[in-house]
Amino acid sequence: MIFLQILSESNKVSTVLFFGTIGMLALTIGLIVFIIFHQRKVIRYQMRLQRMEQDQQKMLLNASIRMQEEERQRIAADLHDDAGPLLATARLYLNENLVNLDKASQLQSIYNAKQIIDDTIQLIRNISHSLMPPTLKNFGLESAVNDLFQKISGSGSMNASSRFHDYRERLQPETELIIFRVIQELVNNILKHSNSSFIHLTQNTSGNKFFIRLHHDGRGLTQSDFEKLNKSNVGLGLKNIQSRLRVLHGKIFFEKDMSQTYYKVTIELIKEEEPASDKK
Amino acid sequence: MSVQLISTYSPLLPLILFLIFSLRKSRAELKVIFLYILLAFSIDLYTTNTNYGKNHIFAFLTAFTILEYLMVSAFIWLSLSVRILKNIIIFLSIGFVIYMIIYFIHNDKTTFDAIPSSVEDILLMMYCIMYMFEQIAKPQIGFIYATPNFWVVLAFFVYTSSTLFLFITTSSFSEDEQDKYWVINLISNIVSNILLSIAFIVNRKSQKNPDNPDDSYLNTVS
Repeated sequence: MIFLQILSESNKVSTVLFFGTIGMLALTIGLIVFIIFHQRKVIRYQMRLQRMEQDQQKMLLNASIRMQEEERQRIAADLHDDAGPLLATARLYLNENLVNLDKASQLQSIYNAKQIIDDTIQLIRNISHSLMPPTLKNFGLESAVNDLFQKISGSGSMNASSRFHDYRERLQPETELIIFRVIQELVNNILKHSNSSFIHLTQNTSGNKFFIRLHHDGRGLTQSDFEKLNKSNVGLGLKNIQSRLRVLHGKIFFEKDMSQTYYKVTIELIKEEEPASDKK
Repeated sequence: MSVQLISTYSPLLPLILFLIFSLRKSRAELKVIFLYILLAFSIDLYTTNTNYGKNHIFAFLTAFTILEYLMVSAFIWLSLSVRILKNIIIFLSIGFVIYMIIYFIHNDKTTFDAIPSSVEDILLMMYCIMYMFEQIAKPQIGFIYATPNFWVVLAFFVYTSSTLFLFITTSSFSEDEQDKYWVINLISNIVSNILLSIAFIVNRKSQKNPDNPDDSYLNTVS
């Protein structure tokens, strides 16, 4: 009512007062509404991102658990199917020894039992090495990778080579183990799916960054393929790689070479502080 | 009941709510606002009931302008966290207080302090915008309207923006016209006191759930 009265007057100042007040109020309310809606939008977006992140982490955790279970099953199968029968056979030979009084037969069965026990020892050593490669533990990542690549080359299925350009100081043992597992997983994938004729691994450092690059000439993945597989329920190995690298705050990039001939996988890590600086 | 009467007694609502809900547990900035409402209520009560002349009232109102400015800017200063914005408030406040002291000493106080009140309105509006700017720039999980400080800022923002043109143009009006248009100030005062009451209610809600005061609001979004 008051504003209508103001409007009815011809007074210029009253008009300024009326429109000024209305304008200021409209601006204030507009600004407040904008801020509230903008903030709601931002918070909704943040919540969606957070949910996606949680889903991704859940997937990685599931992948890592499944991988662990598979590893356990493999070890159990190795022990049950290989070590179990071997030891049972050795026991049979030794049993035979107890009932057989013939000296020559006794010697023969002891010799057979010894052979079987040697095989069992070798088998258990292999299982143990697959769990924790002794070369990695004793001589470091460079030697372990070279060893792995020599074995692949030795099998004759593929030409594999590796070259460490700047690895004078070893990384932490846990870091080395994680990197080695990631390389193993990538090499396994290349052997299984790529149909390539060679794999070449190079190691470099730049500042505080540590790089490992794998090249091969077969069928490979690009970054978008990797991200797609990571979000889907398949690609357990890739999820495992991702979760391992997450522990090291590392990154992995899949790309096709400029020449479109090779696929390249790059692992990027931030090098930890030197132990000397930790003591300060 | 006249608008004048409602406006004079409207501060009672936030004052009572503050005393009931959040006297002890409130943050320092809300205590400043409580003191401000108490002061505004006392001044309103005194100026509407005093028998001394208008000159006496105008002198009172000029003194109140300084105190009002200091209290509201102290509230916003306490609410802000960005150093540069806080420094801007301190810098501008020093300038304003010096201006007000000069004005208080040299002015005859026979008319309403239109220019100081307009300058005060503009400065307070600026501070309110600074607060809003900081809130949208700051990454946070809670909604802006789930905090009592937002409602206090909103109260002053609405009050200052609706009275700015009244204070600017008031010197151009006759005494009768001034009395007629003064209703804008009275309505703004009532609205701002309602918003301050909401602030104290929101403060009570956030005290009830101190770990995550904004959970109930977050749940309503998705």
